[in-house]
Amino acid sequence: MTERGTRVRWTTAALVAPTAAALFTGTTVWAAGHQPATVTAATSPSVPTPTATVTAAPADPAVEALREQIAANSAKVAALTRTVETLRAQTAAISGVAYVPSAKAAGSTTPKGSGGATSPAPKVTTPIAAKPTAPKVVVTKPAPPPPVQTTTGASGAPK
Amino acid sequence: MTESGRGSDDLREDLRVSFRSMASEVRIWVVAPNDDGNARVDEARSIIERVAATCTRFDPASALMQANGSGRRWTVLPRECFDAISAAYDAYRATDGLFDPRVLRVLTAYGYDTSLPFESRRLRLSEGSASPPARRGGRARTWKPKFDAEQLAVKVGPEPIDLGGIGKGLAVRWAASHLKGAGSSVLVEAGGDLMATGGGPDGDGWMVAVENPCGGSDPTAVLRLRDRGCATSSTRVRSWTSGDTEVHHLIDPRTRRSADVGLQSVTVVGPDPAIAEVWSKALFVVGRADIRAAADARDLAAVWVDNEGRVGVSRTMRPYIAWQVSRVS
Repeated sequence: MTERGTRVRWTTAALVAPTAAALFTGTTVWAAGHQPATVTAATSPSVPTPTATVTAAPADPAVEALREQIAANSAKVAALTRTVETLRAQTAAISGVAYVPSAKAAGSTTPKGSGGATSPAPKVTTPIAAKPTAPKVVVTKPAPPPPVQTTTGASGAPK
Repeated sequence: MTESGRGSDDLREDLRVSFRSMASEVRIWVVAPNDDGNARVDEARSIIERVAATCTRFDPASALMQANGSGRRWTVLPRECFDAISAAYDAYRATDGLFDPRVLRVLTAYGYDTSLPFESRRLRLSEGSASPPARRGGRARTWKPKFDAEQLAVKVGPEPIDLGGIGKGLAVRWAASHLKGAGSSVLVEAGGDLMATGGGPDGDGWMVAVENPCGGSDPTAVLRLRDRGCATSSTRVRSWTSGDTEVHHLIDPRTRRSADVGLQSVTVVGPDPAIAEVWSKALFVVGRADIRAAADARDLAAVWVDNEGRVGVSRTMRPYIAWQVSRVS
């Protein structure tokens, strides 16, 4: 080995060793200060979807009873709603006021989906100024009275 | 007046009779009458006319006015008048005095001392007084008439009585009772009081309109009645101006004035037309604020119209309602 060769190797080692030590120290410090990166779907091994059969738990009678009550009450609410609508129609007809059924609101303008932090912001578009669509006005008249055989009323009133 | 009521395909034509009595149109309708239908209708008409003759307050010679004139002395009466006063006393007690026939002096003070042509026009009686006479002692004394059922004698008491409303109901009751079985169905009506027996001409009940007290052409409601009496107390016709005051014939016995209670009419349905008549008056006097509670508490089938045209129906009336509006004008 020549003296020149020895000098070159020591010079290289003197340069590389501190650099390697610094790099090691730096990466160690960085790693200590950061959470491990989230495994992305693309890189994570595919996890088989569990397909185990779900054994139905025995139905709780109390829960079943509550479910039945909910169903029954829902039917009642629907029936009452229809009754209210009918009465509103009759009231409106009698008082000569147009009857506006309490139908579901016209198409919602709220964009579907919420823009989460990682979701792309919804594309903001200027909505076309749609003509306000008035709720459908239905003027109902009470059904005509059925045929009658007589009338009760003020005594002495002409029939 | 007799007229046929069915098509020629019916073997037995309905029997329909109408005549004037008790200041009202009286109508009798027998569906599919039996062989004695005509005779029984004639007798029913006689019953109504006897009640009218004996119980009227517009004839000073009537049995009622004789009893009124006798006051605390015994008066022997025809059966119809005796039974009518007895029924009025029963009604007085059943309604805790809300029905009180001792309102004759009030009606007379208002100028209603003769049969008046209410049907034709709005009356103004300049002789009438807006302040009817107060009772002696200032408060209502309990009515205690005396009855001798064997002699058909009555002591009415110091206050003269009016049998106008209950008299009509009783006339209808007795006529309908006499016509029971005269045909497949029978309707008897007099001045707003009626008795509907059987299923009516169509077999599914008599359809009875409840008059709109505001005068509109459509009724307030239509009732389907079978074996039921019905009566209406209303201010629509028998209202007039007495002096400078608007009055009507439905007197509140507590105030001895026309009942100013926020109602225009009350119709009651029940097993008997006279009792329906009594309660239609009593509920009218109760007034708009309390009528629903009063009717429901007694299981009375009632429909009423208040001064704003709003229609109310008691719980017991609902099964009879075939058609109804919630407001009239």
